[in-house]
Amino acid sequence: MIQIDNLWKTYPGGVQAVRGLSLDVPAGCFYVLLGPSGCGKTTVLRCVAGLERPDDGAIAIGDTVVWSRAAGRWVPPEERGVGMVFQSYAVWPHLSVWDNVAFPLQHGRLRLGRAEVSRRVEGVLELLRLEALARRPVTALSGGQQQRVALARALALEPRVLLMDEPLSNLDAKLREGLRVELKLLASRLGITTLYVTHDQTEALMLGDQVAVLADGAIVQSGTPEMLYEAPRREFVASFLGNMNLIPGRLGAPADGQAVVDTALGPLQVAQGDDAALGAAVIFAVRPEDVEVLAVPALAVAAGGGGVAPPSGPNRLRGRVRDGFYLGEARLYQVEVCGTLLQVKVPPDRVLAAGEEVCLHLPPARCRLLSA
Amino acid sequence: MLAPAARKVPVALGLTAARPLVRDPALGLIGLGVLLGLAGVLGPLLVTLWSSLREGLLTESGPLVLANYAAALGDPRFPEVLGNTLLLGIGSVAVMLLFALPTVWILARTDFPWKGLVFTLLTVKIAIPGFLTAMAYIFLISPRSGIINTALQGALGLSDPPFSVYSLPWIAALQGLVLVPAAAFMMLAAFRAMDPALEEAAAVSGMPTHQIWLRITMPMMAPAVLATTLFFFVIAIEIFDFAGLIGLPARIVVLSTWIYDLTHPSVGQPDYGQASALGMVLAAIAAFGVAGYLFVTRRAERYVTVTGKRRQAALVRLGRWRWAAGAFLALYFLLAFVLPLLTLLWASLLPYLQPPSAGALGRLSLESYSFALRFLPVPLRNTVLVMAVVATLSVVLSACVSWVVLRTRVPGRRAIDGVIFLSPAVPGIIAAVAFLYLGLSVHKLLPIYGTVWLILLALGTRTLAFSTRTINGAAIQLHRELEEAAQVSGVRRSAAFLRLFVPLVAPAVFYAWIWIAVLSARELTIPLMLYARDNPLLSTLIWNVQAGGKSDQAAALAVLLMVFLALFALVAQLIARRWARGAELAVGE
Repeated sequence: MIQIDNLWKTYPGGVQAVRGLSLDVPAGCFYVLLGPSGCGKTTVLRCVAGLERPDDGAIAIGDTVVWSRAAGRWVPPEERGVGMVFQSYAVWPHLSVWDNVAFPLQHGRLRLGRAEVSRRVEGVLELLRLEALARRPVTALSGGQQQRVALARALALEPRVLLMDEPLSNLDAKLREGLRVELKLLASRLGITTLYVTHDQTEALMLGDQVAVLADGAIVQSGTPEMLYEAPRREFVASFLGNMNLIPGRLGAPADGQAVVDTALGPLQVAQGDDAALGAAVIFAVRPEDVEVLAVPALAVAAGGGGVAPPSGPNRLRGRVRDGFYLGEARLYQVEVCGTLLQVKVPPDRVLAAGEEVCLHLPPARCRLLSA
Repeated sequence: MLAPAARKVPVALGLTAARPLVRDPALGLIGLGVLLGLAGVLGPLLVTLWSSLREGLLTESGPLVLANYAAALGDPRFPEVLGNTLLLGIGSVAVMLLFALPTVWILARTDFPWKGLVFTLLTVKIAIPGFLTAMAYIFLISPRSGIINTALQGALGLSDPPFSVYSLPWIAALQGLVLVPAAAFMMLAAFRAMDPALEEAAAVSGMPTHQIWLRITMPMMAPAVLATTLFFFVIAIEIFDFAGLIGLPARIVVLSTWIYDLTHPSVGQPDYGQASALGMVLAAIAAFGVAGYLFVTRRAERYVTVTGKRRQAALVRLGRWRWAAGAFLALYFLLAFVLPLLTLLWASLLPYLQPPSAGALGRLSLESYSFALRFLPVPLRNTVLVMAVVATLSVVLSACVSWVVLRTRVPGRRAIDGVIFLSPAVPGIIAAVAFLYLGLSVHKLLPIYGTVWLILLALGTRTLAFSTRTINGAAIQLHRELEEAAQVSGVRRSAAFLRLFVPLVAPAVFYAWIWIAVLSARELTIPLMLYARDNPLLSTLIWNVQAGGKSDQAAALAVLLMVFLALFALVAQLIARRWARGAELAVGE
């Protein structure tokens, strides 16, 4: 439904906001652009809306090419037939809730009759549970309500695609969570094609059918939220979506049918094939919550009493607990292994003391190989 | 080599320039507004330059010559006039700073208890025409009949009058006095915007208070003070109220009064060429001031300390010193406000000037008012017309300029903004000469010369800078996404301008309208240069009556003008208060 081909955009002053980005949003898909501030995600959205004019490339919405440098084609934002929700809400402060939603229907491209305007406005206000507030001045509403008005205004146009630019980031945390759920349910009920920009990884994972992670104006990796979280291919994606222990190393000879990375902590196995050449620089990655903490005394006895004997089995490491942090739903420990600090997340009832010796197990099935 | 690039140009133009107008023809009207504004601001300068190089009118053919410059610069009076002009400018801003700096400090950084009253008085002071202050001081300290002189001579038995208003220092001092409120308001923003954390950081690290003032606060404020000084220097060398009313009778000539003399000679033909040449000299001096202003404000960007959350700086506790501060402000308002007002009122009630005495009290009469009222209808009608049309013209053009500059990507929009912003630096007298010359030149086609309409055009474009800045200030507060939301949802840009931009900046538009109306009524330079005898404004009528030596009637008219302006300001204030709620809505975004 939205196709972007080789999009380039440089701002006056030389900032390259988007660098050769391409993507394809299927009809009915909730597509999330995720990235840190300054990665170009909002610029991409504004190019689709027509609020920015790209330098090169092409954009199509449905079967209409709205911008193509090669074809010399430019459709202005007024005629693109999209709905858009802004970070600042952008509700018009001098109008009531009802008038905010009705304004584009009355004075925009559609210029609908009075009856049709009423029908649509009442429809979306009901959908967003705003009927009771219809006559209120929009500035009398809370932030969350204002953003629902903005959403109602966009939906009343019955647009082919809905564009959302960090719509929840101005709201406080509690409200954000509620509206996030509402947004997800609404989008799947209406089945509207949505392009959604956010810097919040939780939001991206929760809302997106498809997520594209952006950095420096280009897509680093895209796919379903599960794919991105479970199998990041790049260091940037791994660390941006949640937290990951990253240990640089070189690809060694496979063992037990599994890839082996030679690291400063010794050889570590990964249950994942890799076509990189032997000796190539790679990064071994494991999430803190996937690291298992084993009791040391039992191991020490099995190894014959020597405190320094290495624990047996692959991906078993001996370390010393440095610092601990209580997070509420878990505990986070920093464990020093051969001079490297590993982050380990355990259930809150598993208490480790600072200085305690522990044995860590990094299950190969939960470990990843990233290209450096 | 150039061919491929050249071939791309039409495509690019087709994409950017041509189509928006085809799709949305109403945008053309907004563009027209901007072009009119630019023409009104740049036109006078170009016309004056042209006429300074010509002999005769615009429509007459002739070669370009430098004779006008030779005549003007070669005149034996020229060095003295140039010196007088510079002294007037420097003296005025010196007196202005003497009063404005402490006033700003008291208002912005101390716990002075009567700030509200001071604000109100400063605002009212701006609304009072400068030439009325000049008139009042003529009544007070003119050597022949000044009230104070007569009183002191009588009381002390002096043979010579102790004061004479007819001197350059008095002209500069009085002019400096009336510039104080505007200068104070201009500097106030900077004094308030300064981040108190910078001073607090110094205080916490153990710096004594006077050291903080000397080494932190003053350097931080220096750019704003310097910029204000340069800005008002340019104004001080061109306004006519004092140099004309006091200087002309005393033959103390500055550039602006010389230009007036050349265009309004008592005998012979006006010499527009030489007047324009002198106008260009004045413009050159102003250009130095503007260059300095730009240099200072650009450097000042390094000092910008405005952060997201602004906090009120800790106020200096005046304690007993608040009486000293109060006395200082009282002295200012006495000199600039109370004394002139009372003088005009007193003078209007007596057939000739005399100090207050039992005898004088017995001679009080309202006779001059009955005379003034008979004269009033035409000038009052003209003044109201000027106020309404000038203010409306100005805000309409400014709304267009403001929108184009802030909300579009029209190439050159920053230059447009800069030109409008700097337009007050083009001396008003130049605009007057240019419009006079234009009016005469096109008189056969368009008989506008000598009518109030020429004054309207000249004043309307002169006030663009103020209204554009006011509307810009409001528009910058509005998130641009407000209009982008309309655009994306299919609303044409012209419709968004009319139905979103204009209503949202309406409080600022109204504010600008009111002030321009007031400032137009108090303006003397342009009406005096352009008026015709049968179409006077209140300001030019007062000038003429005063020049004719009828002090009581001039004073009566002055009192009536002030009453009229006060009533107007009061009504405007009431309407504005009703709108305040709307303003909060718009800015609350």
